[in-house]
Amino acid sequence: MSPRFATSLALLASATGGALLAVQPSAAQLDFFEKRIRPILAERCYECHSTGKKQKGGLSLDTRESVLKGGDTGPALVAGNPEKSLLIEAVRYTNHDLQMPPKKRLTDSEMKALEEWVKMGASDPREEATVAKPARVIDVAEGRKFWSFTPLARIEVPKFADSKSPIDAFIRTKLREKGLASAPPADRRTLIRRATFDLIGLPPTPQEVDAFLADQSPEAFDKVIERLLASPHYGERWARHWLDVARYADSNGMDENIAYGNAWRYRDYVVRAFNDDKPFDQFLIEQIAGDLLPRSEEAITATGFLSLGGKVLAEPDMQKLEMDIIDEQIDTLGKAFLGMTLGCARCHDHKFDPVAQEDYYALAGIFRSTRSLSAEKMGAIKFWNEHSLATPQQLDEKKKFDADLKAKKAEAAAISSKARAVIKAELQKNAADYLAASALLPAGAKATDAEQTAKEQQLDAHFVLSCRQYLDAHPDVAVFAKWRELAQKRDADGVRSHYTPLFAEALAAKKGPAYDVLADAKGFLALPAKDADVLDADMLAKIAALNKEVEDFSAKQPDLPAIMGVQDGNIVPTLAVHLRGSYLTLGKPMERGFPEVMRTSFARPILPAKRSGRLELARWMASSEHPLTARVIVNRVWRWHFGAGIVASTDNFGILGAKPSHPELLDWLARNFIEGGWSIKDLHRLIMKSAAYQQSSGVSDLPPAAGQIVASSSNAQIGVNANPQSAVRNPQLVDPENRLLWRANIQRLEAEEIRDAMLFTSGWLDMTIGGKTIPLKNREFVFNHTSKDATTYESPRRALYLPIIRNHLYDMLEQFDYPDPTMPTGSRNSTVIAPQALIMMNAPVVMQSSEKLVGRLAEIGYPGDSQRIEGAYLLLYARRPTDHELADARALLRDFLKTENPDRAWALLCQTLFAANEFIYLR
Amino acid sequence: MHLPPFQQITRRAMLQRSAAGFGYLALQALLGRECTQAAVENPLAPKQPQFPARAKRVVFLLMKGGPSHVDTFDPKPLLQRDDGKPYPFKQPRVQFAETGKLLKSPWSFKQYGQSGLPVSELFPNVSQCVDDLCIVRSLHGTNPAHGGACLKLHTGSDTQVRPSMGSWLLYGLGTENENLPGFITICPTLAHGGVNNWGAAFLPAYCQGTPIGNASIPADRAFVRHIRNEQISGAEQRKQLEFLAKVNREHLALSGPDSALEGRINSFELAYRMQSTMPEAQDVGGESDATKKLYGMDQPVTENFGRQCLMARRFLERGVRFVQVTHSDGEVQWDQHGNLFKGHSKNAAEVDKPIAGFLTDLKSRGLLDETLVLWGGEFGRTPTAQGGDGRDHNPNGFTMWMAGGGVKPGIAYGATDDYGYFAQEDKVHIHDLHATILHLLGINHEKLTYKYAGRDFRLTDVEGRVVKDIIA
Repeated sequence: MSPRFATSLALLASATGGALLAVQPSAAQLDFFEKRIRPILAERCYECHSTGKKQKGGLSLDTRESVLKGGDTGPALVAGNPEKSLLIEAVRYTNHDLQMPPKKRLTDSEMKALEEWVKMGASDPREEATVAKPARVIDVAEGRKFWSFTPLARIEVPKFADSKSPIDAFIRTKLREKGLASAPPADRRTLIRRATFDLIGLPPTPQEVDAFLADQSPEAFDKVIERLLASPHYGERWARHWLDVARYADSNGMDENIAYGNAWRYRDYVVRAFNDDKPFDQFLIEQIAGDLLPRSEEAITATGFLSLGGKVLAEPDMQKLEMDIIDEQIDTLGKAFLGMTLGCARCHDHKFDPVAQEDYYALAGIFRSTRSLSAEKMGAIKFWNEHSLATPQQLDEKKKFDADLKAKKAEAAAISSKARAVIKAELQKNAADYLAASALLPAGAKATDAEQTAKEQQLDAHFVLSCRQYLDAHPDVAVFAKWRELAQKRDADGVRSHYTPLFAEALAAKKGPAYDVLADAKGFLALPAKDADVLDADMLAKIAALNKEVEDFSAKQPDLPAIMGVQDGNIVPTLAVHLRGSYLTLGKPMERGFPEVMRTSFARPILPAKRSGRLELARWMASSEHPLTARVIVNRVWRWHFGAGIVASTDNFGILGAKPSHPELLDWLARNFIEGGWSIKDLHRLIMKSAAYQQSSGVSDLPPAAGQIVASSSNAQIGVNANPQSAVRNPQLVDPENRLLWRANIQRLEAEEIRDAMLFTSGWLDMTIGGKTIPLKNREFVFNHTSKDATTYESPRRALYLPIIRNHLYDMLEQFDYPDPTMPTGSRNSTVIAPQALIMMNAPVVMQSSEKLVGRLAEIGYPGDSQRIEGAYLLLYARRPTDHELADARALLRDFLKTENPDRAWALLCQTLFAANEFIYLR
Repeated sequence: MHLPPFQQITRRAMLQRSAAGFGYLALQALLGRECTQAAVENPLAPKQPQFPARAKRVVFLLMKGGPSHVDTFDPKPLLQRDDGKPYPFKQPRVQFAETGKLLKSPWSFKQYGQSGLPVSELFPNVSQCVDDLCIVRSLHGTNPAHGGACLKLHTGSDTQVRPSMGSWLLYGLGTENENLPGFITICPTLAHGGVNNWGAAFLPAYCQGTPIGNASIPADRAFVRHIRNEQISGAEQRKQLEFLAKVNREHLALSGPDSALEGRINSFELAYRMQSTMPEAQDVGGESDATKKLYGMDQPVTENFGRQCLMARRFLERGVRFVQVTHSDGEVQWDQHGNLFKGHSKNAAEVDKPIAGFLTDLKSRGLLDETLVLWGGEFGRTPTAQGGDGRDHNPNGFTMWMAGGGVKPGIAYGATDDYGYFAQEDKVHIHDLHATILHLLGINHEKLTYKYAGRDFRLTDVEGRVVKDIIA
């Protein structure tokens, strides 16, 4: 919907008033309609406004009734009164926001005809009954029957022999139905590597592997899980998952890429939340409404969730900007917590899910009552809301600093204005000469004309020209009456002899009309605004140096500590439905509320009059009765462990989302999760202790197909050449996507894991947790117009702490499928593309890690090459090389040693080991 | 236990997971020689357009910052006459900054060629090509700020992250050269939308534009990231890759068939080849002196942009689907809020000769017929003055021109009002421009869709009208 169109309807709404009286048309009037009006309507309007075709803006113009009824917001005309008729206003094209037909205006005579017609009473014989297409009506009762809106079922765990974990009972029952069985357990080295990356995002150390291998107790793996869950690095790994969903970034991106200098506090909050096993319901409530809980910095920080979105900060239309921000917030919280694409209902009822546009604006009213933007801004760029944490002492220091900065700036400015004053004085002294020279120029003179004249008179061409342009544009300044008269005759000498004494006198007296024109900063001797256009190179260099000093000084100023987050603003009890998403076309006012289809109570919520209602919204979302919240988070955690969700579309549980592969298991998990107090760590334990998690990924490890043979499976058709007997027994044919989990998925490490694992194994990784890591001040430009990239990614901190710059991600992250940080993502892609290979072959971070790994191996002090290679395999792959692997590696090493020094040769070998599939895939 | 050949059973899964970006075709050839379906399913294989295309590829010459239409291709006699007077209509509801009185153009216009189309003296060389141009004078957008307008122009949306038009074309038409990216952007600006202006957003990763350098880097020093290794020789790298292939194959045998693992083995071979094809494609060293001169590479003023244009031609003739060339520098180049005369003179001088040379060269090589050339900025400028000698942003009416690829040559289409503030006759919205570009490439803009987050998305959202009148 274009704003142009939307606006037209807003105006329709405001101008329509009284009902129209049916007037009996005369024959002449009808004749006028047929001859003049009908052709215009048919040729120029029906295409977009007729019953049979489109009815843009809800407006049909093909029957009298429909014209009188008008569009979404009211009648199109007021019979007898063209001035009050929006149809007429639209065709007149005088209002930029209401111009019809949009592509090409009517001719003057067509316009007049329409005016005349309306004036005469808009007689219209067209009476065919309107056959409007039946509008889709959202049926909430019907909608509630969709699986994800039904209450969580109470599911009995199926009985299945040898299944210690309820998860396995569900999984194996389903496998058996298809004639399949689980894979055998993965070997211990594979399992500990899988679990360690899974929980802390790093590989196991050789010592950890040895300890696990040596532990023969039945609880050996449970101990590994507990050790990893207790590690502070667990929170770093799992925060990263949630940060994908929260579309976390350290910069705005979008139109003006400025730093979110305090976003890191939210990031660190999420790390702490996972490490502390904060109950998920509380985690949710804090992120939506932490500022409304009893005051705590922690909870306020959580509301960064609502602030982190990308915003079009230079949008000059404030109302549009505010509604765009609200839309981003609703869309994000819908996808993140509810698996619902609520943003679709901004412009119209959701096309697929039972969410009405009215539901959207009921929610939007809550966020309209919330302050997301700050009152401060920088030119056209608006800032987001922050909560200051500054102490009185810090505020005092800042005040002093600002005063010093102001003084320094004034000093720089003084130099410029002094130099300008000198030039100005010089110009004033020669003012008569400039007037004389400009009198010689032709009217409409160009720079080339001025140059010639200026050269002859030894004047500055710029001022000769601008003087002339000023005089042409201001023909009514009395002081220059004489000039105009003389310039007609190109009498430069006359000009000079008239104005020289006049100006000399004026400059001495410092008053009078002649002095006023001389002193006028925008007058005939105006100086260009930019120093670069006025001052000479030496002076410019001097000013540039001073400015640099100011810049350096201001760069030293630390940010005042603040939290990026929202707070309650002006409470709006109702918010009108925005027809087609535009604030210019308002419909029915909606009280604040929650989407009806997800409400378990039939009463609308009653929200506090003096607060936004966010807290009530958050508590409703986090209630045990909500059909979506627990299902969505349980499914996310499942996805992050297994590489695929029970519902594959982790962020869409709506009608267009995927259906659950194991609906009973999902409901059982969700209920169990709520009953256990929304503990994420307990969910990890439950999942990781299952045989489904611990099974092997290798197809060669599969036992001969067991169980009942199922004859019909649509998937079995895929293997065109396969023998039907073997097809049904082969899980690769029955379930090639492994939706039923007959084996573990082979998973590629995520971008951060690849990078961190290289730094970790080479002993380079700095394991410090938390803190501000983006090397920019709050609100500083990441990219201004210069396109110079000041961000560096050379920090040895974990990748979690590298700056996430929207519009320009670190390429290592970007190429390895880091998600777009403007949209919630619960399920990253795992592509294989050639640029990834280029990174492993050529990127400095890979080559440096290789060199450092060589250093680390040397430090450990292996007695010989073979042991050293073995050491590398243990660090990187958690296993020893086979004999022939060892031989191959040694051969390659010898080859490199022919031309390279030992360190280089080893580094080339190590780089290859990093690039290998075994390093970046989990079996 | 007998297993059927793995390629047959998980090909679909593999294609979903291992879209190999540029070079995908070669990867397929290696993986699935036996499989006749491979070519059909390769997402980047050249696809038949929906109807006969008029152009096979697009080159977009972006004049970053917003060139003034009333000073270049849209002469306004009344503006000249009424210089210094107040603008006689209402100004837009939302304005970027306050503007003053009408400001006439400091440049004069002359008619050129058989078409007699007027061009201002800013473009003495491009004016010689005017019979090839289809000048659209009635463009209009919605966003008056650089960032929003750039995003709108490139992606159709100024509020959300959406795929760029080049990404859509790659998605719809595939690529004709498996060893080069199908969408290349030369020296793009990182500000005002940055990567989002050539990003794939929710489209598959292989649709992403590949940047060569950025606006802060001179074209002769602009390369694709990580395409070169200064420390490791080609011979050493070859040895590394042979060893790598061996250990990867052994790992694959152990891990069981897996499409991604297998795809990754080949991605290294492809990357190795790209290290030579990509620099070769952008290296203008082998071009004749006459050609370099044609593009203005013999003059310091035009050397940089000339090189960009010449690189673009080399990519186009190698089958790259969408090439963007950005004229931008350390400032917002065409953004003359002040110093219109000086700024626009400098900017035009830098691009005039290269663009004329580029058009001439495309034509003489027979490439112009199948290449759609698009020229313009993210918006135009106001006919009213900002300060003494400047013009403000104006998305309400501005000019872009096209050439080649199925557009009518030597015409001007649409018009702004008498002063050039608002598009008025035969208005062409940015969505209409997108619809028309897709149409020229044989795609119905309403039928090129991608399902994401529960909705079918289009480049043109729910708008767009093909401007049939400009199609030859």
